[in-house]
Amino acid sequence: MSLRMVATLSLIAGILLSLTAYAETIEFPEEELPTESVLPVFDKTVVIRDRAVKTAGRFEIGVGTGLNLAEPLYSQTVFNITGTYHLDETNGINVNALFLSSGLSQAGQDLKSGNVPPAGKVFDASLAPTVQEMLFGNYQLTAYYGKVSLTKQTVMNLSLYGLAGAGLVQWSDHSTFGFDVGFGQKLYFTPHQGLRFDMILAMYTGPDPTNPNTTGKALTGSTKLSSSDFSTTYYMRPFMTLAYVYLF
Amino acid sequence: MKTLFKKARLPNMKYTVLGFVLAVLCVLSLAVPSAISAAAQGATTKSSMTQSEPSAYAVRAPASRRLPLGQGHDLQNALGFARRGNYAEASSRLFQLSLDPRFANRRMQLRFLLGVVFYQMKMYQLAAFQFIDVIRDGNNPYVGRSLQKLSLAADALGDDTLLNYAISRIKVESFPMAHRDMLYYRIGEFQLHNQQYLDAIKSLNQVPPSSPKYDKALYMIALAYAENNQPKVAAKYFQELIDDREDRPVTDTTRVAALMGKARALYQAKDWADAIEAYRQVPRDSQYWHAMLFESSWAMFRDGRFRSAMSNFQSLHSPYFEDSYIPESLLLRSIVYLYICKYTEMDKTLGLFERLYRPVYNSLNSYLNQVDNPQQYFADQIKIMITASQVGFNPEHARFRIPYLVIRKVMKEGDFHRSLSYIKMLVRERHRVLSMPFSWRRGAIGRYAMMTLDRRFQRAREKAGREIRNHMLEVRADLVDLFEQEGFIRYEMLNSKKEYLKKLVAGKELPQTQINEKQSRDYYVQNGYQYWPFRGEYWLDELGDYFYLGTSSCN
Repeated sequence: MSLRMVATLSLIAGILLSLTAYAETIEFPEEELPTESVLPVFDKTVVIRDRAVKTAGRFEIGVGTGLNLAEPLYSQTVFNITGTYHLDETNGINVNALFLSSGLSQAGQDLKSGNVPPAGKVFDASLAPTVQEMLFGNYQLTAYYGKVSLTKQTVMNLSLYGLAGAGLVQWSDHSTFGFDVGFGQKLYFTPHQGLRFDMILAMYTGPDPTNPNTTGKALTGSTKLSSSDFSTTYYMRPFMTLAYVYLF
Repeated sequence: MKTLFKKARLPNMKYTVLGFVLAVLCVLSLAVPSAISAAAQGATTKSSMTQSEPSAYAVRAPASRRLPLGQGHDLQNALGFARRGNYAEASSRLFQLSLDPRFANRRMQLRFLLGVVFYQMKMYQLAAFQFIDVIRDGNNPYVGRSLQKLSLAADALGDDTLLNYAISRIKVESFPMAHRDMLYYRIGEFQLHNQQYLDAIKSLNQVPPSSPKYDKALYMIALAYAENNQPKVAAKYFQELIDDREDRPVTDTTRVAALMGKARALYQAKDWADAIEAYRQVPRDSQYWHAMLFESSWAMFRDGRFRSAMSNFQSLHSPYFEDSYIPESLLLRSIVYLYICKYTEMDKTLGLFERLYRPVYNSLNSYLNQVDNPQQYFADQIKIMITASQVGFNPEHARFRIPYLVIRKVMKEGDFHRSLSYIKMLVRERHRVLSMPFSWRRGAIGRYAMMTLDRRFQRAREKAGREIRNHMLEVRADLVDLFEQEGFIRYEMLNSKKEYLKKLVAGKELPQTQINEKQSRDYYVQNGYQYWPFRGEYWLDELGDYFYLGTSSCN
């Protein structure tokens, strides 16, 4: 460890210690500290009163990004716009739009350039139809509202929810119906702003670029093929997204 | 058993021996429990009444007063039905006989028998009225046993008036040994109610430890000592009760009530620290916890533990208690603020008191001035209680003539609670009458039963209504007193502020910015505990665990 680093660390420690010296240590009487984990009894059990983040009857919109976790050929990056109307503190209607990148993934690039065995075999997935957008309408059930102290300095409210719905999957040359289920968590750093993590499993049908069914047409060269040139397959794609949300 | 009844016509002396022998023989040889011995046994306990009860049905009549043959036959028939457990028919026949002029000289006997049959049918109110008739008549051999039965019926009904009527006339020595504990307990309760504390203690001490009333008696003894201004002795008795209930669950109502009693007694003895300790033992999931939270704040305040008292207020003044009547706690909070020179907070607290309780006073005052009929009080109270018990009820949106928190306060008052229990017993009894066979209901006895119960029901409602009104008057008077106190506290606040400003003008050193006034956190919670700052939302599992981190602003 260099002398400079030691000096820097000493300085930081000194600053922290000096701060400590000005602070007051509050000692609670031991006998007043909680000894029970049972709940007080009221006529009606209400877990929380005056909640910090009130969602009932309010809109929440958000933008974010994420990953198409199981996508082998195309770029895994996705962008999403999400909007939710909370019917009450538990039930809500959610709309989630996912915008997928049409570029090739590293594996897709390697296949395109023939860098993978068998040598010289080219497979250009960018010539096949790809999913461009997905739009799902979901029912959202918030099962849990709580709070968490991540840093021991600040407290954030969080909620856990599940969602399920149906929607449209827009391919580059056609569109199909799809379904999705998922769950997520929101972390609110203010009563109006927060982060939303979603884990969604999208289910839809579409052309399989690895299985062309038109003789003489292959994913080589520069000619783009259409969906009809491929056999149809069933896709189950997990998406993980992180969005910034604002509660109006 | 038929033999028993025939023999039972013998004069008293013979019967006492013979009846007992025959009853034992019947039980031993035939092993068939008789309806009559059931009449004695069935009530609550097995007792000496088991032996004496058959006499109640047919005997006790001196030889000179034996019934003519026809009359005797009618009575035997009625008792036969009772013996076979057909109480409906037995009661109907006994009722008819009691109105029959031929039985004029046997009326009290028939009344008593009818009362016993009603008692067996769990129609305690109707039974009680038969016994009262016998007792009022006075000049008959059934008075003693009617008093015993009346006290049992009144105990089952929970009717203080009847009970007091019975115990004021009864001789303890003549009361069956098996029920004597109940009698001593009720006498003690009555004496305590009439502020005869030493007499009450004496009576209650007669309740043996084996009695189911023992714990209640112990509690009453402690209460009597506390009322008699002997709080240390009271605390000792409460502790005895706590020890007695040691093997019960933590939330055992009697145990927790004893803890509360002990804490209150210690507070009365100005032993603040021990009182706080006793309060602290009250479990959070008991019904007494809410009262504890407020009462222990007083003890903490008197003990100079302002921070602890303030911690309690954080829970007590949360929305969880928004429908609780606790105006005094707001004034106490403001007084604590005064002691630690937090005038801004004090002003806010007094403002909150005014904002919350002025409308309560206005609304209550208006209701009390407009309504005078006790029945209306009862009807309104019950209506609101029913509405509040429904799913989705929100007190914030409720628009009642009487403030909901006053309703809740009245609900918890002991006398109203007892009256309501009594009314519920009457309702249950009415249902029993309505579930009797059609012929019984349409007969004279059915009409009599309904008329009696309806009249009693109406009177009980009126009594409960008067109790409600009295409690409301108390609340109104209490609020007037508290508003006056609020004025004094405000005066103290302004005075203290003035002194503060004087010092400021004089240039004297004033306290620096207080820790809790800063946004940043510059204090440390001791090791092993996590810091969760309060951010405005109240969690059920956090109630009672708040800690006030502010410090005194006094110079």
